[in-house]
Amino acid sequence: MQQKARALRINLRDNVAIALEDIPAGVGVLIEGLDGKVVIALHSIPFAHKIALSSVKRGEPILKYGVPIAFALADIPIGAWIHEHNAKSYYEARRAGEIP
Amino acid sequence: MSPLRGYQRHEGPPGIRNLVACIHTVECSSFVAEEIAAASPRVHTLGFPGCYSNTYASRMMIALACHPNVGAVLLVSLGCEGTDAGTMAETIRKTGRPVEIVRIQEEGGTERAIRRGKKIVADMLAGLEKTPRLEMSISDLTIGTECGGSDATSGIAANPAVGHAFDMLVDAGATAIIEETLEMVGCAEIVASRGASTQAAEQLRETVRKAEEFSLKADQFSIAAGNHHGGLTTIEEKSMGAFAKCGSAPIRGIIKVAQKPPGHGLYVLDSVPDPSSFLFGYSNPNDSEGILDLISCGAHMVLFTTGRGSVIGSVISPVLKICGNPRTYARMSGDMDVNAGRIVTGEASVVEIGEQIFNAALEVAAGKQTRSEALGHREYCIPYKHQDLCVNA
Repeated sequence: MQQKARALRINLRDNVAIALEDIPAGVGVLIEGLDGKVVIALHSIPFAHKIALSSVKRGEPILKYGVPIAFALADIPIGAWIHEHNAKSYYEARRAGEIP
Repeated sequence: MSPLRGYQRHEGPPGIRNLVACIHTVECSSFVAEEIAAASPRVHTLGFPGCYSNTYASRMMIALACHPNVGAVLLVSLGCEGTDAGTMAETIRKTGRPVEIVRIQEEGGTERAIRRGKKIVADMLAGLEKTPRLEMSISDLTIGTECGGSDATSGIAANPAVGHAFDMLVDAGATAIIEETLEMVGCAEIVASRGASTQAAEQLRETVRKAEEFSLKADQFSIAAGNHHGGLTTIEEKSMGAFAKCGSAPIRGIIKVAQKPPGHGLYVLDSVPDPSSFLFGYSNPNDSEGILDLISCGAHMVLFTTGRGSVIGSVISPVLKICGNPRTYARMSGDMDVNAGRIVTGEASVVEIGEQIFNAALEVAAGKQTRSEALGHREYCIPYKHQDLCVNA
């Protein structure tokens, strides 16, 4: 791990941070708002996209702004890129009758 | 920081500006109103373009005429429009403000109406010089927030920073208002959980549900491809990014356009049209309309966040602009009051920028001009709409 990139954890409860720059895969990401913790990016993560700060099990909530903004569609490891491919809206899923 | 010294009004909270409102009651009288107002930057023109009267628009014009920042009012009427300037003047006069009407048809046309209007406004401005000043505290202030020209930085930098400033203002006793319930779609339960009481929670839930129904009918729903590209995965995430502007204080309740919050603390302004027999009105047809909604509820100033870059100000109340995108800030710094892009570049924290916004807001309350004020921005927009008032506000 040579380079360091930066990401921002917005709320203390969040299990994701937001990339403050385009982050290449394999790079160490310094998480601001989390006492200088470093997480290795498993995928390349574009600016303003989300990186997992802890592992999230399938069905568990993705927390940003301290609230659930999506649930995991599969098990997500720490450092993974989180987007439509592995997370889904509760609101959309409820409207589609997929969850109660 | 200079102490807050407001302009005393006969009723209601003091103002942070001391203006004459020059209000056209139909589009046909807008030119004459603008010509009259050109006399001084302290005369602000606003009005309603419609010829058929609209209860919502009349309520809005009266609320703006009776705003704490307004000390005197001139109504400019053509003479045959649906809005009744006489009734409006009666209502405004009850608040102790000097009110005059210029009716263009009676006056004898453009030139005579402008001449008479200028004379009236000059007398009003001279009268305003004698407005008593009094010491104001933060708890006398009402502050609104709105976003426009948003981008991926809005939810990361500018909105959370304004949220921190909102928490500081509410802690210090201010009244704070967030609008844009259409941007709470998908978050009814999250928003309701912020209610200060069971009643407030129920009001919030119903208001967000109404916004969700409206958005489906008006086809304003859902999250765009550009949002996904920018990193937003769900509608909840997009909504929470906008909602972050209001910080973390408990929400006391719902108010409608032109209604004053019934107490201190944080309120949600519902500007979405209510269902009526005649369906018309968009929620916020543009940013200026949204800003004016907040001002009609008594906001002394509006904290406006942007990422792509907005230049607008407003009539009646200063608009303080917070830019979250460092590149936009570098390009358009002449229009921006606070650079929240420093959060993105790692030069400052959300808390530090929040404190900077709080201090900037107090300076503006003490008389310092915002960039949009200094540049002479005076946007306004009052559309046709239907809204029932809240019973308990």
